[in-house]
Amino acid sequence: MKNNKHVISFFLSFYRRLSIPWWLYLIAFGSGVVYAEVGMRVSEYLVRVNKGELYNSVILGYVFFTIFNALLGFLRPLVEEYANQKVILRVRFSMWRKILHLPMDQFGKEQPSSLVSAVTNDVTQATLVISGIFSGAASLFGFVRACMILYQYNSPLAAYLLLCIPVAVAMFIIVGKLQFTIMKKRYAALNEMTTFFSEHLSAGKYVKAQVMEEKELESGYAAIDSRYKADVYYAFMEQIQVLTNSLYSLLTTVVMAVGGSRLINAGKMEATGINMFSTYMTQVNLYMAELLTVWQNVMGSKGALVHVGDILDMEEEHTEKGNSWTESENRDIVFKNVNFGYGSEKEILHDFSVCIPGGKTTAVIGDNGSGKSTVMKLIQGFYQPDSGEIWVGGNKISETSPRECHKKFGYVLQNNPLMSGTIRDNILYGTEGETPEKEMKKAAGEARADSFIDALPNGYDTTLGEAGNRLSSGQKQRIAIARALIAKPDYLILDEAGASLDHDTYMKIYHGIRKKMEGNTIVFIAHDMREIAEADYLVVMHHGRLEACGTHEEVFAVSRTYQEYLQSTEAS
Amino acid sequence: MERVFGKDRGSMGRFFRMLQKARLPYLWILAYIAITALLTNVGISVTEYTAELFAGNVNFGTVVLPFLTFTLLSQLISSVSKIMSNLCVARIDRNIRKMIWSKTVRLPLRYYEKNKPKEMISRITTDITAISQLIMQVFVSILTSAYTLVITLGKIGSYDQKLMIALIAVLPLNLVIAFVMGKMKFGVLDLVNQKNAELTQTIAEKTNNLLLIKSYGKEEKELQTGQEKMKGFYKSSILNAWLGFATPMYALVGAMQFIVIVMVGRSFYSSGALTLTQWIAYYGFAVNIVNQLSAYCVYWTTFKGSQGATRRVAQIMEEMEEDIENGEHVEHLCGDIELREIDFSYGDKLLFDKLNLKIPAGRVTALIGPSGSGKTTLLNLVERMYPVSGGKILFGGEDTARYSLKSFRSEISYVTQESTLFAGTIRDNILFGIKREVTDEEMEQACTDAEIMDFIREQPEGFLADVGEQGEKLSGGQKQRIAFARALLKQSDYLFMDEATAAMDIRGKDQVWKSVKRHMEGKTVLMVAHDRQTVQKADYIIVMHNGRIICQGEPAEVYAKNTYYRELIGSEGQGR
Repeated sequence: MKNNKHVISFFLSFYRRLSIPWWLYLIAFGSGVVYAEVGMRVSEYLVRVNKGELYNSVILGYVFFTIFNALLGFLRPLVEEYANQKVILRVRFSMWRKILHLPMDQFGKEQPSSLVSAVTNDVTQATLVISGIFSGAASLFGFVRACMILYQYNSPLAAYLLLCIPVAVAMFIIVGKLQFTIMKKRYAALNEMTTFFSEHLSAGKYVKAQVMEEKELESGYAAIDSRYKADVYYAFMEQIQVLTNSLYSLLTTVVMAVGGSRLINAGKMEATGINMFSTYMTQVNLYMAELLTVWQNVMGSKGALVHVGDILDMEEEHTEKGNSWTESENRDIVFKNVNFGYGSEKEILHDFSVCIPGGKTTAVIGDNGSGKSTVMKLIQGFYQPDSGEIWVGGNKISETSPRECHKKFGYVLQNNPLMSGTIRDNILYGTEGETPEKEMKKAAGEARADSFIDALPNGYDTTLGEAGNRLSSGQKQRIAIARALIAKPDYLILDEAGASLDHDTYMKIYHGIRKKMEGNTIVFIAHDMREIAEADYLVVMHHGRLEACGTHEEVFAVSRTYQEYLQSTEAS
Repeated sequence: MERVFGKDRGSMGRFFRMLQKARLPYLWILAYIAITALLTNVGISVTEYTAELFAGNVNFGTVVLPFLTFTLLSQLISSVSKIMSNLCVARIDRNIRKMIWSKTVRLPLRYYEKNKPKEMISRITTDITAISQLIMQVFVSILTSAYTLVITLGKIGSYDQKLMIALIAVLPLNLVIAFVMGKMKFGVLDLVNQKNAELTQTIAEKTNNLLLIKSYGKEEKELQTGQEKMKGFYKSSILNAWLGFATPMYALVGAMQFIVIVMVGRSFYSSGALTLTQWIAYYGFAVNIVNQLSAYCVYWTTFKGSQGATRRVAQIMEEMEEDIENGEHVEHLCGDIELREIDFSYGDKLLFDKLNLKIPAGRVTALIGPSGSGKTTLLNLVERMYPVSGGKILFGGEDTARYSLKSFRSEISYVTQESTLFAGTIRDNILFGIKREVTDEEMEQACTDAEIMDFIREQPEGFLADVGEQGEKLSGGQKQRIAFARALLKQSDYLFMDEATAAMDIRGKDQVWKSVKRHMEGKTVLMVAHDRQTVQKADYIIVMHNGRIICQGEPAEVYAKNTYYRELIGSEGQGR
């Protein structure tokens, strides 16, 4: 029982967060009670029809109550659906608000796909408990009513039948457990096959280049066969479930047929009594099944709701909170003894201190995995250091409002996501209000994106969906660069922004960017020595530490990494 | 039947042609039909004995016992029939999946490029289930439903012919309504699915790009976008709930039928031509038939909607295959690579027009040029990934067209732009496509040369470390190193590299190139690159622009003639 208490307190605290359309649920409950009452009437007339009492009054009575019953059978779920969907919509709204405001370190703790499925799938379980309480109460009413009618009609037979109910409950529990195992296995097999094909169907070229068609055929067949085996298993297990479930109905049938016939023979029940019992037993079983299903749903929904609840409880980033950005003469980016690691993973930056001069162009260089990209994220306040301080232009990043901070930066990565929508939407993504056409085209020109966009039949209004296949990764990159430039950032961060572009094009864009950003700060990561050569200032990183910083000459004198880089690119 | 397949006229024939190839489990299906027929007959007995019980005829030996026996029997046979049906579906699914997979593996590269992987996946995972359901729930069901109908009507006819006729007369009403409702339901469900897909897509896109949203401070705008999609889904769900009005509609029709059935039955019953037992049985049969046929109509309308899936699967079977075995087996490729008068186009866009090119054997050749100039396509053509529209590709003066693709491609190591890894261990991935025995020392040497051995040593499981789905646990540079180690182990005389070191850092590139020089001494290397460090390693340069070769030759020669190369390579010493 302790466990149950826990469940109840969990659900109480979960629902306290939401506003629930109680009156809709109450209407649903009310119509559920009327529905049960009308259902009894329908049964009454059905019994009479099956007794051969085919009078006009019986026919009309049956017709009237069936239609009335069906109307309620339509209205009741409709009202319930309104209520449920309203609750789901509200939960979705608050979850979505939460997710958008998660700080990056919190966000990193969850797989994005798990957050997505929480909003799309898990949330649908949110109403099961509430609606279950109301519809369960209505079902209980119907169950009790049908039992009473049977008891009044013939108490010994009714008593025998009701004795079978524990069997039904036991069977239900067994089947429920079985179902869980079966579905888990089935889902795993389905998942395995889908994973295989999603991985291999996108690798056609690779398979051909390695001439591995035959092996592919085999492993594909193996994936298909394991799915087939799961299907066969399911075919049998499903019927074992059905048979287990039907044990109860078989038992009641036997009791009814054998017990009923004895009673009739003994003259203790009228000749058509079995008809009467069979009809009302159908009702009893129906309501019992409803009750058990509600119970199962409520118990089953906890897992999904825990996930939803966890997300709603996550810490939020207050984008407006913190000091506003103050402009000052000093525009340097300063790291003071920064230590940092993502979550519980190993530390990436160790006691990292550096001063990146404002108003200049700085290249950050180092091997893969030396922590360059992490530094870029920390500068912009996406993550907070575990210890140490980061200052940008005299503002301490951890104490500045994230919104204001992000506005100061432009950020271009190696592969930048574009949002669905038109090219125009994407370029103007970071702008507020109306932006003149001229300004957009200027930014596109600076990113060398104008000529290919103009060549598209719909120009800037081409949607990325339709152009998805036509735009190369380099073209998408140029759109992303235009998007960053149009926001006129004070600080521009380029993290291997040129890697997907051919050198020639990128150098032209790079020169354009430098001209546009003249007097402002650029920090970039690159592996191309020519790009690096044009930087005013260098920062060399090695295994999460600062190896050297300064001008080319200063760095060349002390940094082994830089010396090696120069050697390997110049000696051919 | 034409309707199932919509406007596309040839599609019915195409569908059945595909079924022929799929090797359907006919015996299983026949067995299923036989069991279902048996079930129908047992079901009739159950209804008859139930009627006896209801009427008060409760003799244990003649009524109660047979009733219980038949009830139990009916339950058991019904389970067996369901199992059979599920097994048939599973077998059909498996056979069709295998058929499609074996087709897909043999499709040419162009097909993979034209179709999104996501669509191809749904073809093999979900689309094909529409076919098994079409067979079992529509085609086979038509037989079993018809049988049940005939047997049951015959039974009623044995009571009285007119009862049977009355029942036949009321059936169409139900069919019509089931058909109309099925159609509406399908339409609305489609809408719900669409709204759900939109919601999922929006949430997934935004969630995956949270960094971007934060970076541009667009939280509020995205909040609204998401909320709109949520409202859209809400509305479609409510619309779906309104479809519940089918319940009273059915009740109305059911009531009308009830009146007809009872009116007809009543006259017989009151005249004494029908006993109480027969009346109850008659009523039971009538309800059964109506229910079964309505269910059938709903299936029918649902599957009319899945015709798209069926057509897509049938289409894939008609695509041209690439026969990799056909042709002469080539033992050993050697000599210069020569492209003679090559014509090639992507769709209607002509890329190469009578292209002539000679790539010298035994050297490191770099293919350079702005993006879109056709470098990767050229590599693919030489690897014979695409059929050429005109012209010849020669190796050492021999036309490659006569070689079988299988033997030909085995002679070339091709490190593609996307360094693909499959789920599994590092070892599996390094040895993928290596058809000879490789010793552990050899493998370690290749990994050392590819600068990945240190990383592998750091893994607790070493070579048996799991790389994750599509190698997601490794960085871009690490994946490229593994792809490179694999290429070294293949030990072929031709190595093609398509930006194969782009994700590596400067030091890594340098090491890897040293290994290339050592391993490929005297052998032919053809690479696409656009960074200076890599291009510097080449001793032969080909500059491409818009599908044409604009300059080729020794580096010094090209340096003198071509600005693109000059700008790319820069003057020596400019690094500082």
